[in-house]
Amino acid sequence: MKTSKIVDALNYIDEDLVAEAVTYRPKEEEVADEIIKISEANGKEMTMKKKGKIAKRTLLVAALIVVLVLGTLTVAVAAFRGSLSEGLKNLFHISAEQEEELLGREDDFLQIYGTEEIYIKESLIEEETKNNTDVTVGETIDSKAEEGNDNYVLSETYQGITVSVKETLVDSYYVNMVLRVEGFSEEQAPNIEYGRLRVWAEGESLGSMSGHMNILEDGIIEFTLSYNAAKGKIPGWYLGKDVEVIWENMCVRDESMRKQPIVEHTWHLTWNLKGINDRLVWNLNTALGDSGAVVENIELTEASIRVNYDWPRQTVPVVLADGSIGNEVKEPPMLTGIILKDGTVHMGVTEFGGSGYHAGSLQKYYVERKFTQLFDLDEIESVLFYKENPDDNIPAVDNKPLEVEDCYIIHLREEKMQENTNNNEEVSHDNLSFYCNGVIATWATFETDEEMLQYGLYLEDVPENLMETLEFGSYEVYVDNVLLTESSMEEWEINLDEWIIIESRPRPRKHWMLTVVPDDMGVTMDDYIGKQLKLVINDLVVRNFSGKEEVVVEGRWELRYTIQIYQ
Amino acid sequence: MEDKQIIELYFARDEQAILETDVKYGRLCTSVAYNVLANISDAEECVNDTYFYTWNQIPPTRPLYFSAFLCKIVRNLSLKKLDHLTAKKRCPQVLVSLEELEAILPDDRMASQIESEDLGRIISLFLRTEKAEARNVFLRKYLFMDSVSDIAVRYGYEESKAKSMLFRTRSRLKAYLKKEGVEV
Repeated sequence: MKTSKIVDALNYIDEDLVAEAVTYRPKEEEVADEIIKISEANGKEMTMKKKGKIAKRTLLVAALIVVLVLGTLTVAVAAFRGSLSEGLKNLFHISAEQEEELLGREDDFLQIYGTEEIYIKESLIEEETKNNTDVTVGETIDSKAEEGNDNYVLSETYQGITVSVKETLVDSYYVNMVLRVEGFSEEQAPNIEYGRLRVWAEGESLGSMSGHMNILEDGIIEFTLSYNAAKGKIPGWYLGKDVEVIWENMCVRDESMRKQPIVEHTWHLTWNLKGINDRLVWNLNTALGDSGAVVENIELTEASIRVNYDWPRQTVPVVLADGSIGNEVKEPPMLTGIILKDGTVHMGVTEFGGSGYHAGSLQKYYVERKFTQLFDLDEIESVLFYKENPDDNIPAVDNKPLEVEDCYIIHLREEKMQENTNNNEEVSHDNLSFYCNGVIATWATFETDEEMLQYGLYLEDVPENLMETLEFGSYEVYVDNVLLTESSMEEWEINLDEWIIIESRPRPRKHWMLTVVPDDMGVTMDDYIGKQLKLVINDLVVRNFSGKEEVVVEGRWELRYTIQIYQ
Repeated sequence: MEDKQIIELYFARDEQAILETDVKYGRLCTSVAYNVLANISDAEECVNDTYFYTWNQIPPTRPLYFSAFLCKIVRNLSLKKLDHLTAKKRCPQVLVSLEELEAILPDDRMASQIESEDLGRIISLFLRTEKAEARNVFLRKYLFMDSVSDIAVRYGYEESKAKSMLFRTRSRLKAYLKKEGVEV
């Protein structure tokens, strides 16, 4: 069929369907602004299985609900080790023995924050005073505060509703945290959700999140959140950085299922993110049968795994529903399970994670998965990969168990291992979003052809009344950390143009378009493929009538993206 | 401002109508045009043409779904402009999108008698049988020309899931067309 006829036919698609597509959002995405798959409140995403078998995944996606109770301004910061939260125990199916062992560890893998001391941020006092509520003043006692940092806030209360961090368990690939919300009655509890939840590590987003919640006695809610923070980036890049949790509003749903805030406030927690970056790296270069995939290495921690493949992007013929042949982009054989030294087979012990090609490559593929339980690394003998290509995202239509025979097996003990890697090298990874002083900068679009590069970006949550006149104080553009300066302008033509102003819905945003054109004869964008473009924005300013700059948001935003041409 | 109020401004020949359209749907229109043209100045030109065209169409037209009405105009204007930009195929994703549909829709030699309008209606009927998620992913891809990665971000999926949904929806559409007597 001719393209023109298709275009014409699309014009006759019912307009109510088109209008729906303008505003449609899946329900679970409305619940959280970030990518979020939430298992049922007390359920599990994966059914644990008997030795050697697993019932295929039954994904249960449910709305995130927050329940709160309480009403004083007392806030907790002191760290102590009592017992683990139910949320963390459920997250990794932690046994009593493992709990005891975890609590006794002296490294930074697990952090627990207690509720025995009182701390109030100054701004909070002012806010509460304005609202004529009682204020109790205490002092900061968390470990960092003792080192002289008064800026950390592990808990914040507003109008009797407290959001606090309870625990963190952090390794090279994942940040797991338990947040506690208190302040609503048990009757209110089932209907309360957050408006928006964002987590940043010194400006960079911790990425996609999976979570579930537990309702405790007295309506206290524990949010257990797992962030796949590495997502192809440098393992543990977030360790030792100050993390910020920004929780906007407490909401209920109206009749049309839209969130309506019942308490409008932004709870803002911040603390230094501790964890461990110890992992075992197995350099393998092992082909997975005749699949065409080569496992270059496997990186293991107690709580998660990353597999790096050599897997050139390819489409393969597939049989369509009517028996004809079509094409589909193929994924490599997926991680399915592990075998321990004692022969115990654990199928389906991985869940929630990221996968894709490493920045700038259509050949080097990675998969990161969180384990559903904690493993002793010394006990892991083999890793299993499913021989077919199961689609993780489609619920299984049957309950046929997987067998070891269905899998490729990679024996780790036969291969060469690189000892505990604690790699904190300062290598920049791509960064699509950056938070600083309440304003988020985000790459929006990437277009590169042989002649030019055009990256779209926007600033979100800028002061709405200043949006029209807002400008960057200054900006710098780097390619592989080399600043494109005035002296290089013979080679480059760089423009950062204001593009279009977006009003307040869904958030106040202003867009810009960065255009970079190699202006030297004989130089094309091809010469820059695989190099990283970095944009640094310094301060946001407005100009008065005389043209004088006035800084309205002080800060530094850094966005990075590897230059590539997608065919 | 509500769509009805904006349309009333058009009927009143109040130029504020264009400003309000831009405030409410400027981003959407620019996004559709940019998805097709991959060039900001071309996209903005198309959006301006869309407003001009809308100004001339309303009245007498009184669109029931204003957003869909605008999308149709901006998409067609953008595709028309793309035809004129043959020197440089800036946006292969559009061509790929249409090729994907070409592969499942009737061959002209086999079904030249099918009118575009009938085909559009059959596709609409099919989409009404689909789950909301699959339906909207399909429309975002082929009507709004969103890239798979944009769809993934918009709906909070991994790209593989968006691709998989599109593939399966196309397969079901192909089977549906066959069932409806439209030879493929």
